[in-house]
Amino acid sequence: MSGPARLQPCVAALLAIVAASPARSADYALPACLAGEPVPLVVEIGESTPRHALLRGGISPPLQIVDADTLLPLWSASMLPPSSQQFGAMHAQFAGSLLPLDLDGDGIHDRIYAGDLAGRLWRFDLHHGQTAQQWATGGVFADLSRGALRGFIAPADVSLRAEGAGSPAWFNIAIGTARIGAAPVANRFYVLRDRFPFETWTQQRFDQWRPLREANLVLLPRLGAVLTQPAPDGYFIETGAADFLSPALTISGRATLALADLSSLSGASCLVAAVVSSIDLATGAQTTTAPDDGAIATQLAVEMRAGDSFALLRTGSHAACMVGNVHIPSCDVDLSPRRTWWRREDAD
Amino acid sequence: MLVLVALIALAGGAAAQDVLFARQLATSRAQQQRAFALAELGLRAGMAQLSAAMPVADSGTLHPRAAPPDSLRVVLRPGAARVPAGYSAGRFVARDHEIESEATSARNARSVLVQGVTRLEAAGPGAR
Repeated sequence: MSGPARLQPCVAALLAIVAASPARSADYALPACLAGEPVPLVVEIGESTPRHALLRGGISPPLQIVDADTLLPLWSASMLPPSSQQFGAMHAQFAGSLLPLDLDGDGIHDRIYAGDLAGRLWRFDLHHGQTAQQWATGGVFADLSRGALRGFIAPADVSLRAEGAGSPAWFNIAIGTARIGAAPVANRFYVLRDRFPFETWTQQRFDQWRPLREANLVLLPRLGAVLTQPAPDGYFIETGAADFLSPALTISGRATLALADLSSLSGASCLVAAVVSSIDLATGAQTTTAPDDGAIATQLAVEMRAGDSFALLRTGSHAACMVGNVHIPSCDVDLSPRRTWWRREDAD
Repeated sequence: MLVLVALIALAGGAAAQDVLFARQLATSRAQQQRAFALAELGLRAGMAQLSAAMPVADSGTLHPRAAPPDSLRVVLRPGAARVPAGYSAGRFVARDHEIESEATSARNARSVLVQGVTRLEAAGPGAR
């Protein structure tokens, strides 16, 4: 290996660390419990048999997939080599905002939505069986950074929305920001529309894509405000100093979200005070979260572990939505089977 | 006179055969209806199974009634899964199932009913 070639990995790592968002706030390090845990997924990288793996974010490389059993690296992505694939805009770190999706129900993940600490949402389409160098195509789907010290820590909540039969389907991507410095920032909760939910894009298609920006979205000035105009690319809600550390959960088109008060974060247990709220993804309108002494409550104060998802506790065909030991009725879900068709097979 | 008696006897025999045949037909019909009712019971049992978190895929041969010839078998067949509209992808999948209910009763009466259902299944983090 020549001198410059030997230096290249070091330069890449240095650039990644320098460009990574936490470094923009010199006296602030992301609390360990907000760094995110590896996300399980099933992949076919360079082989035709599915393999259980873990997707994790980091500094160098910003994204990596390792074998779930052996922890051997299978794939990585960064701005510069050495990594399996390079993406020119990947200059910021990824934490826990990682969501792999199986779009066709075959048990193998087809898509990754990943939010970085610079406030950009990435989309990757995965090509089964390809080598690590060609396994993913991807790029920035939405660039919502605007220079503020806020980024994505919690994974996106993606739900399919179709306006009746025959009309085109799209993904509602609900994701909130969190401060990545010590000081509170004006956070946002975005509801973005991905109008190409089941298309697999080539790298050329990704390169041609113009990332969504806040200028493309409709602004709702506070939680509870309602859309009064069409929002073809989506909308965003200004949520003040509250940070989004946990993914939202969508049930019947309503997203339940937890707005955390990061100043209440306790180091050891990682418990944080939060307010749970629920919105209709189509309009942004706030919906009720729980009956409260006969009155209708739109918000519910809870204490939760930072980064934890809403849990579903199943009893028969009903699943109760829980945060710790607190029941959140707005995200309860009915799992009963529904009849679709019927036929008689015996000759009469 | 002998001819008349013979005619009456023939007519009586034919009537008796008709009655016997009609009775056999009615019994067969009743057994078929019994098998059909049992098969419907099997579909309901299959729906109840699919309401549980871990449904039993094959019930084996069941004898739901005291009458020995009555038997029932319910088989659940999972089908395709897809991203459900309006629910968090990755946390839920919508999966189609077929419930096949085969019931038998006396006199080889047999009824097979198949019910298609779709079920929302919780998956991913936080599902217990």
